Amino acid sequence: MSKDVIMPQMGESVAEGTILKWLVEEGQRVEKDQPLVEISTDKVDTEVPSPVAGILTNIIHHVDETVPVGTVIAVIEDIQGVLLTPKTDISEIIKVKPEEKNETIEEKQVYEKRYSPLVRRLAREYGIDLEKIKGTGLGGRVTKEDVLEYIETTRKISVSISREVREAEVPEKAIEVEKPAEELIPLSPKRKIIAERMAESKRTAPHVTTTFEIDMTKVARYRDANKDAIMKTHGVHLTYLPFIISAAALALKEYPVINSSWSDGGIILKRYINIGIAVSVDDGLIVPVIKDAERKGIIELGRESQDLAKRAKEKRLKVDEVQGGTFTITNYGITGSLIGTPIILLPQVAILGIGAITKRTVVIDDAIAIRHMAYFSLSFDHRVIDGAQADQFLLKIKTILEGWEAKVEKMSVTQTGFGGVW
Amino acid sequence: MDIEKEDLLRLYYFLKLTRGLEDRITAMYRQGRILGGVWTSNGMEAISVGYACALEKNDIIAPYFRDMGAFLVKGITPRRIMAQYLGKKTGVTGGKEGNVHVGDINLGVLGYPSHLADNYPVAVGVALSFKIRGEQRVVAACTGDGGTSRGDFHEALNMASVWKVPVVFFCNNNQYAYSTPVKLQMAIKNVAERALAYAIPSEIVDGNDVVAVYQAARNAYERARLGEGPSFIECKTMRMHGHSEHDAAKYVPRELIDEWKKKDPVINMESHLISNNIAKEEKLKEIGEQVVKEIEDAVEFAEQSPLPEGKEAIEGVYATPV
Amino acid sequence: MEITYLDAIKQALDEEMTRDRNVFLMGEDIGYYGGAFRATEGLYEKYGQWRVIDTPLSESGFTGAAIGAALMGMRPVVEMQFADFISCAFDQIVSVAAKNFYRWGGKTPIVIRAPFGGNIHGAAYHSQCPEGWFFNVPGLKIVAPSNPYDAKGLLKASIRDDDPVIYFEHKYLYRRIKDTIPEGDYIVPIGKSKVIKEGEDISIITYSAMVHIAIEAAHILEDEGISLEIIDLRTLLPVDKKGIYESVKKTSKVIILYEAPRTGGVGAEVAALISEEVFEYLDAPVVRISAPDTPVPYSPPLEEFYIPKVDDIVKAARRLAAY
Repeated sequence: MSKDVIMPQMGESVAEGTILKWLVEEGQRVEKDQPLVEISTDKVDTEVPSPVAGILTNIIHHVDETVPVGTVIAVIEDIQGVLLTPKTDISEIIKVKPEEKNETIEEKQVYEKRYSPLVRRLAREYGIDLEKIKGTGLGGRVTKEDVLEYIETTRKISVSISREVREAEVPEKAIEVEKPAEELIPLSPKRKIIAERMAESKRTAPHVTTTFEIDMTKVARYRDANKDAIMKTHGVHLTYLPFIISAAALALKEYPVINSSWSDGGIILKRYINIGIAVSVDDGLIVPVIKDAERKGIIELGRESQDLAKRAKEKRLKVDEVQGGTFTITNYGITGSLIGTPIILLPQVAILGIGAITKRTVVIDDAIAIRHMAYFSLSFDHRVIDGAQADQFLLKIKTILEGWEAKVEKMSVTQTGFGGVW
Repeated sequence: MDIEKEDLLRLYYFLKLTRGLEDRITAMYRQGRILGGVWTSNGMEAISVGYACALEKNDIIAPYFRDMGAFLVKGITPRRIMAQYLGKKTGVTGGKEGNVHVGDINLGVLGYPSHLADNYPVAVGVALSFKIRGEQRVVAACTGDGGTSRGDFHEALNMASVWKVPVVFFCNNNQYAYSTPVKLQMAIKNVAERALAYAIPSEIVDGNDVVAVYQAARNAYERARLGEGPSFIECKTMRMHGHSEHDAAKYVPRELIDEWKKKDPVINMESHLISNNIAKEEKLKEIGEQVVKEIEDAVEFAEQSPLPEGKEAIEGVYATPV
Repeated sequence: MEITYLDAIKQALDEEMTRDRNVFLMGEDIGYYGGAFRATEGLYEKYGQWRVIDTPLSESGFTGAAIGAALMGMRPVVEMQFADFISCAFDQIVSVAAKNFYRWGGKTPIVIRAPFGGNIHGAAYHSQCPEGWFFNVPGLKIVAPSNPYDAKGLLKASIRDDDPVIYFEHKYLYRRIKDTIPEGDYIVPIGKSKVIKEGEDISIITYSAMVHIAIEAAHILEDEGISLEIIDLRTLLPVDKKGIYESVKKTSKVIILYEAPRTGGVGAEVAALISEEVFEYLDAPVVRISAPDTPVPYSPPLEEFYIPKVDDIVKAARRLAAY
C-alpha cells in the first residue's frame, strides 16, 4: 500500500513550497516521523516528517522545484502491505508504480485546473489561455485577481508579445529584433497638468520643509477603543486620517496664516477651512476636498474621506469636490515613506505630509518605551510663512494628537446611524 | 315572529335554486364535464338558505362547503357559480379556486379554506371589528359536525364569548363527517352542549325546516345587534348524498336515508306554503320554472365563457406587489 | 435622542395607532401587563382595551380573528409572545391568511410580530428562528430588522402593507442595540436590502442579530487585509435579489450567515439563487454559516456552540479569501 507525501500548507495563506533538500534517497527505507525532506515556504523553512514507515520509492519533485500546496512530491510504499520474500527485489516493487505516477499527475492537473465560473468567463471574454496564468489561490488555483492582473499586464505589452510569437514560428527567417534601449511614453493630459503644476509651484513658492516627530499612541488607543462601536453604529471603518484632519483643522483655526494665499496685493486669509486629501489614482494624483473640516467630528471626517477616496479611484468625483481647498494633507506613509518634502498645491501656502506610523522605541521620562511614532513634514511657502510660525503650527497638531483622550465621539445632529440618507 | 309572505317565497325560491343548481352540477359531474371534486348540500339546503335569508344586506357570512344556498342568497349568481365549476375566467374566483370554494368580499361572503372550522376564528375577528367600530352588523359562521372537533372551533367560541362579539355560529349536523358518524366524532349527544361550556346561548333546530332555521337565526342576530354577544344554533339534518359526489356512502344505513327522504326540506316548504294558503301551486310552479331557466342560462353562460390563460397562475399573489 | 430596538418598535406601533384608527393590537399579556418584553408598555393606557386586546391563550384563534378583522378593513397587529408559539397559528397563517387574496381576492393586511432568536438561555421554545417554516408559503411577506431605524420603519411599512406580514424581531437585540432615529413618520420599504458596510473581497449576506457579529468580524478581517461587504437583507420574503446580486458581482465570494438551522432556511434559498443567477461571477463556492440542524439547546456551552460566532465568520472568511 503506498502513501503520498504532499507539499504541506505551512500557514493559512501559503499556497506553495519549494524543495530544499531530500534527506532520504530514493529506494531507501524510512521510519514513521523520520525527517524526509526540507522545504521552504513564504512563512517558514521546515523539515517534513514521513507520514508512514516504508520505502521512499518515488521522488516526484526535486530540489529547487516550487510546487503548489497539496502536490504529491513523493511516494512511500508502506512495507506492511508488501510481503518481502528473499527473492523480492525492491526494483520490482518500483516497477509497479506507473499508474501511481499517472494518478499523481492527474491529481496535479485537477487541482491546478480548477477554474471558477468567473475565471472561465473572464477568459472567454478576454480571449485568454488560462494555462498561461500562474495561480496564486488555494492549491495553485487561478483566482479572479490572477486573471485580472494578467489582463492588465498583458494588454500593455501585447504588441511585442505577438511579434515574438510570429518570429518563433518562422525560425529560419528569424532576425534578432533588439528591444530598444529607450522607450517613449507619450504624455497623457493628466501627466502634463501635474508636471506643469509641480514645476510652477516650486518655481513660485520658496519651499521649506520642517519635520516633527509625533507620538500617535493615544490616538491608536482611542481608535482601538471606539472603532467597533463606530463601525456598528455608523458603518465607518475608522483609520488614523480623520484624527489628523481634525487636528490640522483645529490648528489652522489657530494659525490662519497657514490657511491663506499669496497675492501681490497681500496675503489672503481664508475664514473657511477646506482640507484636501491627496489620493493616488492609476495615472497620477487627485485631491478631493473636505469642506469646513473644522466643523466635523472624526466620524464624519472618516466617512467623508473614505467616500471621497473611493470615488476618486472610481473617477466619480464631482467638480466642486476637487475645488476650493485651502490646505492639503498627503499620506505617503501608506506606501512606506517616513519623511518627505511634499510640494505645495498652489494657491495654498502649505502642505502636510504624513509619514508611516511605526512602532518605535522612544525615551519618555528617561525610560525606554514603545510607541506608535510618525514623522509629520510641513512644506510651506516662505514668502508667506516663517519658520517659527510653521513650527508653532506643527507643534499645535502634535499637542492635539498626543493629547487625544479616550472619550466617546458625539455625532452631529444631522447624521444618523443606520438608514437615513447615505 | 311573523314572517312576511315575500320572505317565505324568497326562502322557497332559494331552496329551489340551490337544489336545482346543485343537482345540475352533480349531473354534469357524472357526465365528466366537471373536473375535480363536487360537494353538495343536498338535503341540507334549509340551513344555509335559512340563516342567510335572515341577514341584513351589510352582514357577513363565514361559510363552509355546504353553504351553496347562502352564496346564492348573498348575491353570487348561478352564472358565476357555474363558470367557477368549469374553471372559467368568469367564475367567482377567475379559475384560481374550484367548485364550491368561493368568496366575494363585496357581497360579504368570506372565502374559506378546506380546513374545517378555520372560518370560525375568522368570523370572530369580523365580529370584533364590528364591535370596535360600533357597527350594528353581524356575522354568521357555519361548519359541520366534524368541524366542531377541531381546536379552532373551541378557540373561536371561547374568544367570542369572552369578547362578547356579534357572531352567530351555526352547525350543520348532518350526522356524518365523511364516513365518520357522530358517535365516533363526539361523546356528547348534541353539539349545542359545547356552546354552553363557553357560556354561549345555544339552541337546536330542525335543519330541514327552513322557517325554523330562519326564525332561530333572526332571533340570534337580533340579540347580537343589541350587544348581547354570540349565539350557537345546531341544525339537525341528514347528509343525503355521500361526502362528495364520488362517495357512494355505503357506510350510511339505507334506513336512515329513507327516513330522512320523507323530510326533504324543499318538498316540506312547498307543502307548508300550500297547506297554509301562503301561496298557490301555480305560483310555486312558476318559481320552479324560473329557476330552471336561470340554471340553463347559467350553464350556457359558463360553457361560452373563456378559460383563464396559463400565465395568470402567477398573478395576484400579493395585494401590494413588491 | 437615542432609543432602543424595543422602543423603536413601540414607537412605530404608537405612531401608527394614532395615525390610523383601524390599527389595533392583539396578543397575550400585551395590554395591562405591557407585553412579556414590555414592547407595548403604556399603549393599553393610551388606547384602551379594545385597541390593545389581551387575548385568551389561543394563537390560532386570535390569528384567525385578526384575519377576520383585516378582511373587514382593519389593520390588526398580532403579537406572538415568542416566535416559537407561532406554530400554533400555522394553519391560520398558511391556509387562510397567505391564500385569501390569491384565491378569492380577500385582502388580508395583518402583521404578526414574533420575537425570535437565541443567546438568551431560552432553550428550545424561547429561542427558535422559525422564518424557514413560512419561507416556502407564497402570499406571505417576512421581514427581520437588525437595528432600531429599520425596526421602526419596517414595522410601519408592514402595517401599511396590504398583505400578511410576519415581522421577526430579535429578542436579543431588544435592549442591546440603541441608535438615534428620526422622530415622526418614515418608512423602510419592504423588499429592499441594505449595504451596511461596503467591501471588496467577500460579501456576507445576513439579517437580524447576525448583522452585528458580521460587523465585529469585519473589523478583525479588515486588519488582516480582507475587506468584507455586509448586506443586511431586512426583508426575507420576497428577498432582494438585486441587492444580493450586486454585491456578489462586486466581490465574487459569498458567505451567507443566518441564525436558523442550516437545512432549508433563508440561507439555502439565497445560495441557490446566487448559483442560479450569478454563477458566472463566482470565484469560489458559496459558503453558508448557520446554526446546526438541532433544536436550540440550553446549557451555556451547548448554546454557545449552537449560535454562529464571530470566530466562525473570521475563519470562513480567511479560508474563502485564500481560495
